[in-house]
Amino acid sequence: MEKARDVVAKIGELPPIPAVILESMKLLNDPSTTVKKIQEQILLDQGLTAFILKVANSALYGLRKEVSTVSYAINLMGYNTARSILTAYLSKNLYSARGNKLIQTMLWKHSISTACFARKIAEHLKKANSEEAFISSLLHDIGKGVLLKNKTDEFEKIIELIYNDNMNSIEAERSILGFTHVEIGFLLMTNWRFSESIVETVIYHHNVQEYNGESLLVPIASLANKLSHMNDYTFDKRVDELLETQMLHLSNDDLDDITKKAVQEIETYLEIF
Amino acid sequence: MEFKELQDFIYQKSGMFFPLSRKNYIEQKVIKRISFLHYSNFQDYMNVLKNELIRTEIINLFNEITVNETFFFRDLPQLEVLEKHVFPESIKSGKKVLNVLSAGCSSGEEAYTIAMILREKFPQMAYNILGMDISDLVVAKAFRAEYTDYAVRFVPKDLLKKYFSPLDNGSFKFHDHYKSNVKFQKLNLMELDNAPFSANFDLIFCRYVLIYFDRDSKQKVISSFYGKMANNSYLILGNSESLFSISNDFKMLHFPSAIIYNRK
Repeated sequence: MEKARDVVAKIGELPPIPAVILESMKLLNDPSTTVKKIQEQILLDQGLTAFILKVANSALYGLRKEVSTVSYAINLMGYNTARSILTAYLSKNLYSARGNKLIQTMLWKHSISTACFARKIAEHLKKANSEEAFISSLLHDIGKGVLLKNKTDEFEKIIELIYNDNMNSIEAERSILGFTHVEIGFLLMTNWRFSESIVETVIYHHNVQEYNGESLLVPIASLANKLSHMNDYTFDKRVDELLETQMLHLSNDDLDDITKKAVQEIETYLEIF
Repeated sequence: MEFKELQDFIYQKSGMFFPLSRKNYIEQKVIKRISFLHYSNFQDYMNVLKNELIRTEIINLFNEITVNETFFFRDLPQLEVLEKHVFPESIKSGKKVLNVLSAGCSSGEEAYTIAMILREKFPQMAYNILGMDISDLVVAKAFRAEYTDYAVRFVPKDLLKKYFSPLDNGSFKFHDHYKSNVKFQKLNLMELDNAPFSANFDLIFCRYVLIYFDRDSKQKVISSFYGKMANNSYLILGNSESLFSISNDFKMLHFPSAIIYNRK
């Protein structure tokens, strides 16, 4: 990853993390924070407020009564899930910053679906934190968001190359830019001071076999990424061999079960956003 | 209500797959049909559908669930690509007549929009436009060609004056005179392979239609399109739809504002 630092000059300025998100995240990480305090912070951003209320009122929670306040919504989902929702909002905004609507939609669909697959895998394994799995998988391709924002034309050419020449995203990005979304994702996550386990997921989601660490989040994200592609939430060349199932001791039946549950959640998310 | 039973039935008959997240939507539509027919429960209604007790009911149900609010000059950036790239390229390649298909045409807004663009900007190019839709109700509406002021809100003023006449009830009627080369037909996209067309299409629009289909059905429809398309022709999907994991037969062309597909 040494080379990654040279990439900074080529990619231009990295997008900053919005202050409201940063502050809200800090508050959510502190279990002694009151919900009222978090609400005050979140209300500073209208888009974020609407986003949280939409999730709370969606089929994911299946409430009959309308959730009309942020504090009720956060109590309902809990601090951990609230962090996931904030991260979803953060990535959706980055993906929507510039470029073709279709590409924006594809990036978002792939991210949110990978995150939902990861959450369901973690819930199934019971050994991994499902919200951490959700967040790290949500961000695995975040480098593509930066590419779309800072190198819009090049990124659109990359998408064209993947479809027309049957390349995978890594090959297409190397041939057009000389570097990939993995390096950019690494830089962004380090720059935003996200946790080590998230940075690892970003680095290893295309080459899980080279990962020697202990974190389950890495194979989970890698598998979730492939399941997302296999279920058509994709714009990349499909990868069909699932090495991670051995690492995570998952059978084909397990995968079917996970897929069924995840797809339901994904469809709900796609309907609200 | 047994959603799965309904989901399977709709899928088998039309290729449209409605995931669980669309359950409320479908249920509302079915309840509307049930109460219209004065049935008391879902099973009676399902029985009518499955055993074709009322032969037209399946059509009525499809009409109900595929109602799409659409309008003239939808997705201007895509239409710009037509004007700046597709039509000029077709002229350059020596085409004299352009055969256009509006697949899932709804009430005809897209078909008439293309007719207006061709007449205004490429008067030297002859054309035949065919709109088709699974719902006979919208096809009849397309023939009638009467639209609300909402549907025509993006029609440029001068074109509105030239192509439409205002009706007493506040709606607008597309002139018969300009309808001559625009035809409509009721057709299920899944049965496209068997449909006889006099010529291959130079341009197919299929926007926001395949979103109802699952991967197998999408693949089938796209490969039917491919078989019915002329050399060097174009396919345009909705601006949130792509051919990734559906088909590799086309070439993706990206323009600043839209992505379209070219059949070599």
